[in-house]
Amino acid sequence: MKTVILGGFLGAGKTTVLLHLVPALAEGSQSPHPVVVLENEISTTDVDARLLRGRGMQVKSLSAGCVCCTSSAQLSDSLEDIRREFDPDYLVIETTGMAYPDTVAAIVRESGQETVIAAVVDVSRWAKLVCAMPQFVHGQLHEADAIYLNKLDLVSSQETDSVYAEVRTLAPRAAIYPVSALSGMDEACFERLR
Amino acid sequence: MANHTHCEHGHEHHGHAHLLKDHAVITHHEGSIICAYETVVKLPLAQIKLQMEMLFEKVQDFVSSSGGIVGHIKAYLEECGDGTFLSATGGTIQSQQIEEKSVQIYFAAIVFACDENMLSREVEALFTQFKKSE
Repeated sequence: MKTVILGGFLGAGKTTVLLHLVPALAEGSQSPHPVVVLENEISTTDVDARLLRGRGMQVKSLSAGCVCCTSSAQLSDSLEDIRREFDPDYLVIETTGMAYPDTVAAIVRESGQETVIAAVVDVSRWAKLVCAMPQFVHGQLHEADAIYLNKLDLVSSQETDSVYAEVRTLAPRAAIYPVSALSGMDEACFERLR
Repeated sequence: MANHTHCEHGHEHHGHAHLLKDHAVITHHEGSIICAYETVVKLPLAQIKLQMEMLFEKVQDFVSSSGGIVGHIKAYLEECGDGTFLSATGGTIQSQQIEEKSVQIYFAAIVFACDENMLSREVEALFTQFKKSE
């Protein structure tokens, strides 16, 4: 079971990216459960998990806490439950918008699972966010294997180039994909996560 | 059940884990205020979608006008109703049609630097007004 940790700030478009990511990971699998999603929400109501289940995905939900800190014990338990119940090819953990994906990855690796980190950035709010919370932004991106610069449809190409350059300095080893997830994503965007 | 903990990043978390229908529930996470609300409305889904868009605008305006920052506001609208119940006890198979369409609304607003009591009252007032059009 390979674990993809999908991070990024509130409203960046993580769930929209996940709607493309899950079918791409499931492609060609013979497993009865190719992909299971573990949906973590800080709210007491699980809005995103309901959306994903409505799309026919196998979803486990952890609400009202963050798996990088308050709900880390529940994360360890959930990993074991998912492995025993489904034994999927891939587990995708969609973190809360306030989580540090590297901390989540460390918890997952403790249970012996291989991990990759994907992060979603809202290019239209980048300047505001990086100004308000520079350390937090760095913490969410610096260990990412793949970064999706999302919502290209809302900004100019010059703004995208500028964000790309800044993100490249924060995450030198990541593959960076400018996308508009709402309009669709090419399967090649997910090669780094396989 | 209230909880209050710290993590290795120095985050602070406290709040209530239980969600009541037709009541705004406020929790916190690393400086953010999370307002959750669940309700059921007996109106067509298309009409509810339009009204929810207006509700989103009002919540955004409220947060901005009180000096706060919108992190993310989201909702899932789930249509239910129109079921068939089948029953048998060894003889005739009986069936009942249940035709009562309704929409379950799951709403969450995650904001920063905003008065949580005012936010809670605002969200409850907006949903109360919303439900008057049933």
